[in-house]
Amino acid sequence: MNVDYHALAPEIILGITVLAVLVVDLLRIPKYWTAVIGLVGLFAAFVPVLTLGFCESLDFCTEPETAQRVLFGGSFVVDTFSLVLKGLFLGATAVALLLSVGYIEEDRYWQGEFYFLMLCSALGAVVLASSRDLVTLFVALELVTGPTFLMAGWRKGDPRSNEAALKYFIIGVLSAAILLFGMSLVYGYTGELTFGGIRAATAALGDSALLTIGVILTLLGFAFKVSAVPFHFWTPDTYQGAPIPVTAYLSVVSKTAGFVGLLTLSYQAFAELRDVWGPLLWILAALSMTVGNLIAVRQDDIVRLLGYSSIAQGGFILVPFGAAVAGNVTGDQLEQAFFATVTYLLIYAVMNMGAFAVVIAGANRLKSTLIADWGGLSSYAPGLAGLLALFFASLAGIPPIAGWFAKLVMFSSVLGVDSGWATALAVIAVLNSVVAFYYYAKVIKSAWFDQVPDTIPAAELRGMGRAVAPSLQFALVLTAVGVLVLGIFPNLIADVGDVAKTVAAGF
Amino acid sequence: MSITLAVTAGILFAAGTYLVLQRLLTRIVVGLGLMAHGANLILLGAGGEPGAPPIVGTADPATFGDPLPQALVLTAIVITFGVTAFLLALAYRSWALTAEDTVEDDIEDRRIAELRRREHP
Amino acid sequence: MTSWPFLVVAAHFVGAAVLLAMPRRSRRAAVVVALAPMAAAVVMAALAAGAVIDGDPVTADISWLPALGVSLDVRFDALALIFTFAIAAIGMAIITYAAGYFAPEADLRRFLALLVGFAGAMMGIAITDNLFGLFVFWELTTVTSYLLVGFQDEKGSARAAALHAILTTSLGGLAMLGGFVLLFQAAGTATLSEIVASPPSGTTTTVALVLIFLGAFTKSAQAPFHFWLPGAMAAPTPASAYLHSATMVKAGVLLLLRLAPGFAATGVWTPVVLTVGLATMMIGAWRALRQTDLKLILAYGTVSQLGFMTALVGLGSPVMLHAALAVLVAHALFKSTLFLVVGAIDHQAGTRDIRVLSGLGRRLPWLALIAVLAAASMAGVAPLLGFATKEAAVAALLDEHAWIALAVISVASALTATYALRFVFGAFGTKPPSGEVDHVGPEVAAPGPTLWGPPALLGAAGLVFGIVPGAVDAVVSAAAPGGKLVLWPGWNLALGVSIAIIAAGVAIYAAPAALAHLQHRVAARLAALHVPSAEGSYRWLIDMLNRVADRVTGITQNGSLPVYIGVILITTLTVPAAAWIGAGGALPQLPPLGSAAEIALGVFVAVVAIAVLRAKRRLAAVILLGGVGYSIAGVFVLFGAPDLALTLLLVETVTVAVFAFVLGRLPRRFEEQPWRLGRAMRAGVALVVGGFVTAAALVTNGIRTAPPVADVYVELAPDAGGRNVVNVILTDFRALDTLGEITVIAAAAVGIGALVMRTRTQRRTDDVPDTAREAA
Repeated sequence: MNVDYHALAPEIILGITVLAVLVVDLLRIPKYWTAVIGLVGLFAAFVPVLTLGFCESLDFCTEPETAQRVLFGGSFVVDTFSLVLKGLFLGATAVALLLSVGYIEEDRYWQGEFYFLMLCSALGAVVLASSRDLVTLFVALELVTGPTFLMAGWRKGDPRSNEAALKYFIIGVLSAAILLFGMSLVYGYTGELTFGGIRAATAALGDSALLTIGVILTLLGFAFKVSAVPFHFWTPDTYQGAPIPVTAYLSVVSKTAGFVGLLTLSYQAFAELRDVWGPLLWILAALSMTVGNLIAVRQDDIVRLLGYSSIAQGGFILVPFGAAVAGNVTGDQLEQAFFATVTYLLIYAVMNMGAFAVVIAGANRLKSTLIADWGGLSSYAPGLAGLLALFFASLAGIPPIAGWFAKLVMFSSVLGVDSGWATALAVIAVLNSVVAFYYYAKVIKSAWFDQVPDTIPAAELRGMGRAVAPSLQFALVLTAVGVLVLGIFPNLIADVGDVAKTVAAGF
Repeated sequence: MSITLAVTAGILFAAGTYLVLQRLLTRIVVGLGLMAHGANLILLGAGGEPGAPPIVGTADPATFGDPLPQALVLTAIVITFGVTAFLLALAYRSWALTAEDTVEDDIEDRRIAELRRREHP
Repeated sequence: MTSWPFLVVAAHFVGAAVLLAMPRRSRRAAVVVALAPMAAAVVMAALAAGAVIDGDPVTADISWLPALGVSLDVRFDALALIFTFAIAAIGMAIITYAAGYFAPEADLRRFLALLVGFAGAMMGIAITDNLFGLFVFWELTTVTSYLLVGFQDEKGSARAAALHAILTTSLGGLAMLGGFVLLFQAAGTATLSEIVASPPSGTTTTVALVLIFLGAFTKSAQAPFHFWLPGAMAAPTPASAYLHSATMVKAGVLLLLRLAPGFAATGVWTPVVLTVGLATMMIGAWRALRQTDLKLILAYGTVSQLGFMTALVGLGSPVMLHAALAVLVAHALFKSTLFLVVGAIDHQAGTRDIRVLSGLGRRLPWLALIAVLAAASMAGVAPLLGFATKEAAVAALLDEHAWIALAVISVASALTATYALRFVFGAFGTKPPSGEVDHVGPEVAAPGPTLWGPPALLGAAGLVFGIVPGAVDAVVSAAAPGGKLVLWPGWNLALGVSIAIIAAGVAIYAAPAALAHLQHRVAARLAALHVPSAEGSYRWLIDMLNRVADRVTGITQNGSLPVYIGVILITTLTVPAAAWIGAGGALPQLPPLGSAAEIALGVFVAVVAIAVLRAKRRLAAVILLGGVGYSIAGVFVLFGAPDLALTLLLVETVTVAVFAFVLGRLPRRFEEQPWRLGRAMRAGVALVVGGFVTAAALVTNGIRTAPPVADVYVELAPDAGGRNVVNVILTDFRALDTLGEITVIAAAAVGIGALVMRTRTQRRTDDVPDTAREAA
């Protein structure tokens, strides 16, 4: 068989890295090296992503005849969309790994295995971005999720971490079962595994109640992954109980993986069934935004607040799917909606990672994640308070920081559709943006305007900025530059290429 | 698939669900075990009518039970065992940490919901 | 030259960044750095003025996101010129003033950075010709103003007020963004000048306009959103003078002025904008009469004047727009002067309460003179700019027979004259001694030059431009041709109305008892009507938000795993069930009942399963579970699967053994724990799940269409070297799957081993939970 190794290079490099980490872990050298190797592997895997992406301007690269490289009979596709997401997964994992270094090391936990698990999960995510059939998608998704069950329980001495892992595992198993059942119904009805085949079969066979149920169950299985309400229950407890770097990883990589599944399934496999997934995802979007935001309003722990905010942000990311609820939606508008979701995912990844990085830096110093304890942060740690304001303002959607652009394309994607339902979703999204604004602003207010509580020894904490671990500093700089650059030059995303071309086409 | 098989599987799932909706981890494990049995019955039923053991040479191949679901059930049995053992290990750890094997409620949000009552008594 | 305006705006942000990077102590250098970009803006405006007034705007295309219509295109026309000049000139006065206002220990550098950043954003609003570019700058002013209002960290009220202001304006801003997107889609372009040149129409446009109105009204403190402005008076006074009189609150009026030439004829324009403007003008003037804090008098006065401008824009004809813009310029001058005077008083006397201040006029006659000039301009007394502009407005209203608007504006203007008097006498008059309060006044020290210089300059400008209105008129007419500002209109009806207004204002001031009585009665009448006050509604809304948040949290997040699983199960079952029923809900043909042996085994399995539910001890439950397994093995035998039966028997036995190992350590009891989701609920969920599984099994049973793949396997089995087809499938045809399965089991074994072993060591080494880590 003639295999396009260039197309598979990111996966191959990452796979080798996984093995290398495992081997190095056995050697009698400092465990620190496992993290370094992991990081190097992630960056190395990024190289073929770039060469594949800019193939036309490279001499050594043989371009495929079509816009995508199709491998294994259509199961594995490398196109602009998958490359953008591979880049996202690799970058976000690298940041999560940087966040973990100090954290995991400090606790004398099992570092080698930890990085092994994280890289395994990342490998799953990278494969998932290219998965274009049900089996590959499921296996990749479980490869993403499986290791995270263990990572969530990494704080071994802490009953809360145990609880986090347990809830996550049990609900995760349940959702995997739902997902598989749905997929098997779809397969049973269409007799096809590849998304293209499913699309052709549904077009030819027409609608059926059984197919509808299969599609619904499949998508609901993914609703768990993206923590959409009412499948979000595990999220806050797990986010709070897990080590914070793992929480960051879960809220970005694992969640994005779920969205990638939703995107490829909805826009490709179930392209002819918009009347099924349009309303379903409309409801999930509205519920997730509203419930996530409302519960976040009263949280007093910053990690939990970010947990609920990520549920709400997930709702915002789902909003463009709601455009499909309109019967008269055009192909252009669907491509626009697809683009909006991908854009939001990219920006969300950067700003959420940054927010968690700030929280880790702050928690290391204050030994507290209560928002009240962060009062007056600006008076003794202005740099950290500034970064906090930056990332939270981005999450709130304040221009010219990246988040606003995500919101703009999100609103445009539904407002462009001439339909009452789509407009209603936009209205719900606007109202939710205000509520979200409220609690993000409250955190910024606390850090900048409130008094330092008596329990916090501000004088001792002053000027400890240089004590932040270098890896954490690197992560902070990376994400801060990211939100600023993406906010001021959002064309970078628009110019990356037509992500919708190969997935959401032909409507 | 006969009605009996479908109904029996349904009962196993109902009993399993009833047990899973609990805080005691052991009950959850037992519940999952019951559900797994139910799932195996359905898999088996998907193969059609009962038939002869699919061993070449012992009977007419036309009378064989469908071997593929059987292979799948075999896999499922083994995997179930793995899951059961993993959950039991978690239960053991839970016991080691808290001397109980219950999945505790997370009271964090109940506390948030009660905030108002404390603020405005 | 063409991108100079853009560069000037950018210079402000650079200046803000430099200020933030400067050391905290270098106050003098900070002032210089802050002044520099504004001086550049003044120079740039002056250089461009000639061409711009001749109707030749400076334009530049600054591309940002062409694919989505987003750009920062510059269009520096006469309107932009007026705003840029006002922002920069008043800004320089404020910066100088702030240097004297803030105590040495305050972080002046940060204040100036925010102020300069704000000024840059504000200029951006004025010069941008793109809807989305405008939105970006608009939101930037919201954020910087938030930080400015909350600048005085020590005041709790400042923080709360800052939050109110930002919430109200950001709500409006987001609505406006929605409006912009709709307008963009209706017009096909996001360039403001093009949209106004060929305005779209239709429902989309109407909705877009209403959303944009929301943005403009919240920003310009129009009723019913006006309450945030008085609340924001907690800001340091230099910030109030800048944001809440001269610049930010004018942004809404600016946007309306920009849109009016294209959309004033739209059906929705005049009714909405005029009504809101008139209502705001009345409410503001009326409430200004009740205040005793000098700053609040000014704040409500600002609300009223903004209503005045909005109402004029609402009428929409060129002459009205001209008048509105003229009022805007005059207001920027006199209101910032008055704020700065109040700041000086507050700084020197330590209070702004008119019941406490007494005899200040004699002590500080020059400050009083500045205040009198500005207040007279506010009241519309000749020969100040306020007179010329109000005269223009009245004349325009008379010309167009806008009687209702004229009546309301006249009454509100009379009240304006009244509160102008109240302000002057309240601040500087000498009051009879009273037993209730200790007056402050005669002992107050004179303010330094930085505190009286800037207001003196601004106040003098009001006088100069009042005498030579042509200078203002030239620019205003270039931006909104139609009217004319003159020093002396000659004896005509408009002048008569103006004189009547001032006379009425003085008369009302002269009868405080009657006024108080009237205020009291109106308040009582309003209370009887249960008209909710705007601020009350806002508080109610915030309170409601918290309340709903609590409720939602309480309902959805009770932290109990069983409840969560229950909800997930029910959702996953009801959605497909609904889809099924929605699709007609056809039932499949029922399969046969099954053989007697099958039925017997089935009943036995069911009985044992139910017995598990009733088991009181763990071991009993586990043994019964094993019983279920053994009976299922029987079913396997019936179905011709002896291998399966054997495997199951083996696995069940091992499972029971493992259970027994773990259970030895666990408490024996296996009873239900008391908890929230009731027994009946749980049983209900369980029955629904069971029913669904049965139904799904029966339904899916009938849909198989393709021949079983296993037929091929049966044929091929001998070639693979085996006779037991199941075994051959596992070890040959699907060997990779089996390998995967083995991997999973191996991984599980490793994981379990790690869990159990490490739990043991953990308990030995780490008996005390790591509390510090838990906190993090």
